[in-house]
Amino acid sequence: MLIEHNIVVIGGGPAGMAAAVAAFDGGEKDVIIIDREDETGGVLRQCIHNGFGLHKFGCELTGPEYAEIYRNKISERGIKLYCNTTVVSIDNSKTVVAQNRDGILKIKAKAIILAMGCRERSRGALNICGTRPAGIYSAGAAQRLINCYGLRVGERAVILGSGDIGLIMARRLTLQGIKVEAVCEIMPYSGGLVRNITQCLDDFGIPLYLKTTVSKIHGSKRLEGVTIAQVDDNNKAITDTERYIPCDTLLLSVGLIPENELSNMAGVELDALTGGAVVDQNRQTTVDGIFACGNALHVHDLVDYVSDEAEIAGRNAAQYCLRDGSFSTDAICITKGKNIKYVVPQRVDLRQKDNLAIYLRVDKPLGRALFTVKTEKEIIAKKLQIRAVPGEMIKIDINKNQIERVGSNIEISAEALN
Amino acid sequence: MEKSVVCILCPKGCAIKVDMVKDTVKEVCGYGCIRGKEYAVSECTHPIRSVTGLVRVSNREYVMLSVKTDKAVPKEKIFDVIEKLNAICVDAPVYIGDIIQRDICGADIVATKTVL
Amino acid sequence: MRYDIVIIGAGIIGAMTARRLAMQKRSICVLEKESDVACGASKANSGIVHGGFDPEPGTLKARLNAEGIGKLYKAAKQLNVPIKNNGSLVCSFDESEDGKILELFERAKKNGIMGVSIIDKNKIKELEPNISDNVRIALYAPAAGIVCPYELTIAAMGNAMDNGVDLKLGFEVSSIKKEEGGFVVSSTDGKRVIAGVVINCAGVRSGKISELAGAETIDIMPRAGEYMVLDKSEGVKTTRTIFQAPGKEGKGILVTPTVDGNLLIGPTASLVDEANGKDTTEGGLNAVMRYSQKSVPCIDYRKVITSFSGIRASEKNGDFIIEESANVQGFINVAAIDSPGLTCCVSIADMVAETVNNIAGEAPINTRFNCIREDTHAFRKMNDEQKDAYIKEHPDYGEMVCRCEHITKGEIIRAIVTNPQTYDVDGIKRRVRAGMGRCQGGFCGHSVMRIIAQVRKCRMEDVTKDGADAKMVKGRV
Repeated sequence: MLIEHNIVVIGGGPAGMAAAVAAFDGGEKDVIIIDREDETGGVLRQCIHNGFGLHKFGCELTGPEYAEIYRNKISERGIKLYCNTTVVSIDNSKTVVAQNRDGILKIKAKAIILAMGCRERSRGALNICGTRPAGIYSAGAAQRLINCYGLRVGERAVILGSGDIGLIMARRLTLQGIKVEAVCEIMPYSGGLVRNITQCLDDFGIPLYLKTTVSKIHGSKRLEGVTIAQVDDNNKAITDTERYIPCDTLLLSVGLIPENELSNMAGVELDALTGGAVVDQNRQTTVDGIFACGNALHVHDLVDYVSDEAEIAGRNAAQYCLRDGSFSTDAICITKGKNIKYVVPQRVDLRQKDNLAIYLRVDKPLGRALFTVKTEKEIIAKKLQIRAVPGEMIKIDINKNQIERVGSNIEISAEALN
Repeated sequence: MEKSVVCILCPKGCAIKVDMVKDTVKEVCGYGCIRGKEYAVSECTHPIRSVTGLVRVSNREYVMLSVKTDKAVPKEKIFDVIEKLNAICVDAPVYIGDIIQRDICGADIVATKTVL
Repeated sequence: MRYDIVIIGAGIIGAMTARRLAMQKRSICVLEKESDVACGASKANSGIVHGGFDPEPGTLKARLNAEGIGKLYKAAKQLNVPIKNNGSLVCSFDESEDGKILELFERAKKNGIMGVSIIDKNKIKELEPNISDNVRIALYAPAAGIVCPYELTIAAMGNAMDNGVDLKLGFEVSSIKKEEGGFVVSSTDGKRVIAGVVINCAGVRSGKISELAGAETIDIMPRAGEYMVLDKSEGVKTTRTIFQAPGKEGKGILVTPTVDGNLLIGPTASLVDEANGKDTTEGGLNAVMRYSQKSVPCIDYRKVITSFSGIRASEKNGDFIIEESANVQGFINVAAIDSPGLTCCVSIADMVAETVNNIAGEAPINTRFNCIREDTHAFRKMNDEQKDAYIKEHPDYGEMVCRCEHITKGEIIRAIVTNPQTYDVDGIKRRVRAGMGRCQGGFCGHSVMRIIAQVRKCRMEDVTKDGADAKMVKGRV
């Protein structure tokens, strides 16, 4: 069955929902959302802790509550939802193939918004030695089993990785009566927000071991224990610091990877630094009429910023459909300089005369830092940041007048100030 | 005596210093907003936390109802709240915002999602 | 229960032997100590159809390999198991290795292998552009191929069962006694079966089984081999299987695409005791990366999705042992089946069938034997129109469970209930690849658990990873 819709949003998580709402409000009413789960909300449905929405709504919400706000916006607008429906392919002519219990659905779209989110790095990608018993979960998978199904993943846990999900799960396990023996972090600093270290670890006396990894997994059927060890400067385990911790559960919170298998199918150019699409300030990818936002584009620290970014993608996808024309590929590039891990957007369409917001992450903790935005000839913007750490996204605004003058590529770098 | 407090009210996580003489706050510095200042004082005198948790749903298999306290409770009461939540079992349908139980350690328990 | 034949071990050799013997009218039972088939060497090896140039001329290995290649392609086709005749190259990367390549070429001729040739650098680079620039010459074996070893085992056992063979899982043999009516084979937990003929296909434990029966001493020296599997984005780096010239450090590390489109690199070879053979080690995995780079320098090791270690049941004399015991009549050892055992699985089964006939006499042909196993990949192979029509009849096939490998609920349910049935999450993974992809079950694990619980009518908290002791979770919160 071939049907037509002007905008197809792939993924009904926070990014997809915000993008669809913004597209609708931007004047394009023929918007649909396709989501593989039985309801929208994405990962927010399992994030039952609070801390969401402070920036966007001025109050602290839990994940399900944040999702509910957007769910209501979607239903108020009558935006059509295809739940329990998985997109299996897209192509550069913007034909979307999806499947659900009714059959195969082919949708011809004018614009597509990629909002598939991200996945967790698995044990396999880490090459941890040892056996392959039951009881090893990625933190998000364990979160789903506990918070959605009410299943007890184990009794005694070690957590590898101190990103926010790892920290949040350390607290959740503790509250649900599962003893957390340790949180290990291979880096010399935590990748999570400081407040999460305070309220998830310190509140419960859970130790955080920095520069420490899990070097071996023990147990033939169910996990029986892990060996942890400090690492040297090359992240190799130091043998004589090895220590055995009995546990039946190991949670891995070792990084998120934007999901872009569909983007690849459509020929969207990906940025090796973000793992997501290369986009301009409208969040349009290198394939005309395909937009990207949320964690599929780059991994965000706060859902509030996901919503902001998705609104940009949604608005511009609507513009794209209404004007029924293509955007310029003649754009300047924004590249990362010293101490920067990545920047988004990577391109700027100079015909757009709005203020420009650049999001980036630093590649190591810098503390107080000065960010410099420059062309080959001149510095066009500077920003002082009180604290620059890899776990937190940093936003730099550039005035439209500056953009207008700039005709060449831009590089952003950061310098630690002491 | 000077105490260090990391503010948990927003993602900034301001490092706040509180100067205490016995149990009385003399001076607070390093906060980024007035709520942060209040938080730091509270943290040094009577620390409180909001609690989120899970409640069983009697007539739905493998479905949990997520809930929260409508206000922060004394930090030392966190596990008391959890213990009370473990004892609750609700019947679906439950709607987001419904009060599941009143006055647990001074807070009401509110559903944060809808279970039909 | 009395059977004409009892086979101990449900690896590829036990499964293929069971299937072969079911072609005649006989009652057959396969005993397996694990909770699924293919839990030993058959689940963790290179999955290569070897070209036949490697075994020492005159050995059983040489003969069965030469005979086995064609037989395996045919059997895989009947069983609807994906097999690909991609060819293999044994390459030299150093002048000192050239001699080895030429030696293998001579061996191939002596082993009666047709079609092999020596090719030069230009030709190699033409066939495999990503191979290292240091490559010099290669032995090209066009008959070689790739197959998924556990899938082949599952299909062979499934087909055997469809044709009347019994499979008893969780049956760990603890004693084999020859009595008046035949062999009494007992398990550690007190179950027993009676057998006219016992066939020992116990892989790494075949020495112990032979000892239990009072037959010859077989000294199995388990050798572990560590491997890494990379994302499908790397699976296109080579078309053929790339071997290195065998040297001081063994056969070297191979680089090969798999039938499922991933890239497989490995194995190492280290002597281990049986208990530790399934551990991966830091040294092992580092060696796999270091040596694979010698063949194909452009492998992106960040795309590793999993690593594993498999155990090979090697024996000091280096050849297969396939014979009736001289001192225990009716007890057949099929032991020391290491590489190229997978390639030889059908020719070994034929040889065992001959041995059985010599012992028990020719049995009449089983006229109802059906050598074809239904294609479990049928849905995946359909085009969109066919899928649409199929989903309308079978809505479970519209419900995507594993997003990485595109596996539907319908396919998972079918895998649970099709011979050989599975109860485990790992069993599902090996049958339909749900959880085998880049997220390694992070997304679909809970759905798979739920489906198993629904079909098996058990609680989610009772679902296991691989066997009763491997519970996925521990009760409810």
